[in-house]
Amino acid sequence: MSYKHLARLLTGVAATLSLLLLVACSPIEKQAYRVAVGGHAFLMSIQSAHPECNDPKTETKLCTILRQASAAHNLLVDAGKIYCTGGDFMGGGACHPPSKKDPAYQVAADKLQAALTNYEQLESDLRGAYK
Amino acid sequence: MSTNDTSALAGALSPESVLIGLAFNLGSLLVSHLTHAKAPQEIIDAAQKVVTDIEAHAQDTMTAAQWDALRVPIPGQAPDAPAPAIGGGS
Repeated sequence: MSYKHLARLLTGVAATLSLLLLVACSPIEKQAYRVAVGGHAFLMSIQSAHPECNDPKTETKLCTILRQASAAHNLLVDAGKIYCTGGDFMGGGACHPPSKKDPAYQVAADKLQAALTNYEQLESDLRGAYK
Repeated sequence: MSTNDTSALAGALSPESVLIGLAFNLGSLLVSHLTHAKAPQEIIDAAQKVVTDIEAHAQDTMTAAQWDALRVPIPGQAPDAPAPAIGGGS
């Protein structure tokens, strides 16, 4: 079994695990969190397999999409944190989403959904570029 | 990781817990397969990382620290700091 074959197998399994974690119907913050968990493993595996992308001068399609997906992933994390900011969240407590009666709820939910959709599209693009 | 760990992950028997348990088992199986196949250590380490991530986040209370731990470096850029906390959106 060659190194490249193993790397592709690993990437495929990581993507499958990500999908498995997504199957259950969940509140948006859990969906976002699980996509972020799977995305973290996926992106780190691609980054490890392509260290040449660490050079800013390398502008291959794969490196470009990898940078965009990594930035989108971090935006998803930020949006998730913003959505969860309530109660004792900033003091180390669990996620505390805003009440649906709170005027800030829809704004935070829309931003989280947009970040989620954006990341998922870029992850899909990255998978396409990696084949 | 042990069978007990796996059982604990699926112990709650909610659909989500069962799925996480399944993902954990598949990941563990992959690590075992790669080890027996004498795969390069970095591949085994990457697979183990996936399993560890699943295990670590199985009980996802989604604290700020857990969210922050998911941030990734952006290749070709200096590491960025976590965004400042913003209460309730803007």
